[in-house]
Amino acid sequence: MPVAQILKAVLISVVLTLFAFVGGKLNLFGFEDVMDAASDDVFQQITSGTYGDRPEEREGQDRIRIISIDETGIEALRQGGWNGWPPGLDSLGILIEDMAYGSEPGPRAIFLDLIITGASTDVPSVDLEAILDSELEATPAVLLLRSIAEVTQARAWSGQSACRTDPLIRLACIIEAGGTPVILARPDALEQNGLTELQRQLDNVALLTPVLVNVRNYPLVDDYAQGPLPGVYGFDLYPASALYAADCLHDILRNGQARACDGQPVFQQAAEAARAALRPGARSSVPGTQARDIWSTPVAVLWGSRQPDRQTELTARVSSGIVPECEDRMGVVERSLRSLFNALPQSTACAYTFNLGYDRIVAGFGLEQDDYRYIFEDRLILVGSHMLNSDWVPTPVHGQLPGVHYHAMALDNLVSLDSRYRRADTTWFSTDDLFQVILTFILLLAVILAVMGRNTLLEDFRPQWKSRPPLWATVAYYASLIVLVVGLTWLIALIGKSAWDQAVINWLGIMGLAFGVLFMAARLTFITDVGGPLAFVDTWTRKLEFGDRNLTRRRRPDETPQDSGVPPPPKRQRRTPSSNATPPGTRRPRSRRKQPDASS
Amino acid sequence: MRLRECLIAVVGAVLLTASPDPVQAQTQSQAQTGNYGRIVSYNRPSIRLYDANGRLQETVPRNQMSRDITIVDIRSGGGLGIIFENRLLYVRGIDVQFELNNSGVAACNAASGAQQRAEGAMSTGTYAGGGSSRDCRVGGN
Repeated sequence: MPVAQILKAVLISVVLTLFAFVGGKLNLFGFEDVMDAASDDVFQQITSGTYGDRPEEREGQDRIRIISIDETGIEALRQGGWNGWPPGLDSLGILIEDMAYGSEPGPRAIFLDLIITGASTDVPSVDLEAILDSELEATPAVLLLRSIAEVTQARAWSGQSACRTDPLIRLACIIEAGGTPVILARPDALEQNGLTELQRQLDNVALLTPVLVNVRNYPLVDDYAQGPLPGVYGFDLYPASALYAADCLHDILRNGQARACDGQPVFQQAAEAARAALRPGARSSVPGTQARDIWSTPVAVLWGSRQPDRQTELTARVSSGIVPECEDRMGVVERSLRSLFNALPQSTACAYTFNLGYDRIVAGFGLEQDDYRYIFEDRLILVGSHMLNSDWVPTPVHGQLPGVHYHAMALDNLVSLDSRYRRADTTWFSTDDLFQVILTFILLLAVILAVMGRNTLLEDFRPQWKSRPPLWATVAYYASLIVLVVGLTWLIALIGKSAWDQAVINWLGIMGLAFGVLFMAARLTFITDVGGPLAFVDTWTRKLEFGDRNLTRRRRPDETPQDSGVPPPPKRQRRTPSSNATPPGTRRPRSRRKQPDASS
Repeated sequence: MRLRECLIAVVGAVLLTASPDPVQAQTQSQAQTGNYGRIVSYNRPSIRLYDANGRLQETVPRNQMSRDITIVDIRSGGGLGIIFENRLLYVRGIDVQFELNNSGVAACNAASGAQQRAEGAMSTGTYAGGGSSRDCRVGGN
């Protein structure tokens, strides 16, 4: 193929790539967002089985546990003092103690995915010491506060103002004081004007985090850039980032692993601040951390479908029902083919994160002490509702799941990938965009070169075919083009997954564009190639006058070109469709110029 | 006559004090008939004791609880019935280590299908295993 033609193909590809990029950025009618979401959903359905394959990616699944509460569980829990839903505050206190002391040693952190608002009369407006004082009447709210304070060792750190510098330092203070961080849900500070009295008291003994999150991109930090709000400290962590921070700080402060969590300096900062805050003669203020800067980009959550190691075994032991078969045996190729023909199961029976009902843990039937250690020891515990009327979120792999699983999966991404977590595209030109531009360019160039190559092949290597290849060659040619487009897309998408921080690629849109260009460029050759061997198609092609004017209507015999508004066609010899079949940007076959077709 | 009346009163008083109260009679009856296993040890510094309706009755330090105590009743939902100070009270399984005569789940009836729920193809009841600990019932209680 001449160099000039290759350069021409490159130029066309560059121009089309730029058009595609600008079109995507304009996001007209939100089309780009929809395509991005659909592409990512399909991509995750195909690759979810590979998440957690590598040991380092399995760290999250080994570390995270969900303790669920559902309708049948609540009925069972009535034996243990529960009186319905939502549970009483004192019952929540017992629940938190159950989590903290379920094994020895206990978990690394506990998150309760239930928003506790509390009435103004629930708790007196007194300081923490008075609350913890046994002489105060033991109302349910007071019992809850006492339970949490005991778990977090609040007496040791709550009075230190330096421990309130930011949420990260607070978590470090709890761990340094020997407590287990308890993270509680609350409405967004912007939606609620400050905290209720009970929340203010809870803020003295635990860490409050907003829990309302986008269902695709999980935020890590809520940065209140507009100024201080009551009850917040410049920025808030979300449950996943708070639990991840607790995990990293535990490694640093308890296990002495200075390089924990990729050695991100923000954790070292927090650990040092906590040590300084709790030292005898401590300073009243410490510098804040830079968490809001390093976590400004949300997580584009990756979902896995691998089953937790002991999920089936423990489920069977605590259950009297039929245990579902959850093992995912499908490989990437099978998933791809099933996905192509829309034959993937819409959801899988088991979630990625190990989960067990709270009522089963309380009842203890079928559980040994070793099982409690498996559930609690050194784990990050998320307690959440699996009630039918609670927050269920759509997921690409599991269908609808209770919201607590979304927090758990975002946390899993952080624990497993650390600073390499998949970032949501929030800038005008990200690495994802760069990857998409490269993919688009490569695909378009491949398609245009392939179309050009057809004519070169026919002219230079198969002149005897006279631009009309046999049917088998046509089938092979177009099948190769389709395989080329799909294969290249798949290959580059896989490279993006493994080597490019799990880029979010609108591969459906890009592949659609490549096919569009393919069929536009080959629209005339396609008719010739397919119709050439078939006489009746040739006849109809001639009747329909496929050619460069096939979109204009015929003029009446008495109609002048000016009347019809259609410019008159240049006077020339009638050609067969095959002679018009040269795609734009390609050379006309030399043999045709020298020797017109016999049918003309 | 006076002596006879006095004797009747004394005998009556003896009989009255000797007979157990109805609750105690019930618990002793259950203690005699129910033997589902034993509490081996206690996991918490203090143990919460509930009545049959799930109301918290007492929180008792671990060292005041008897060891190797017999489980005389099992409530649906997992309460383990023990006799504590001549009362039938219940401890939670998570607070103690216990052994059942039959191994844990074997003492449970099969979960009813009604307690397995579906939410699309995904359901709490399904992936948590169907039913709940409420389905663990001894003797059909």
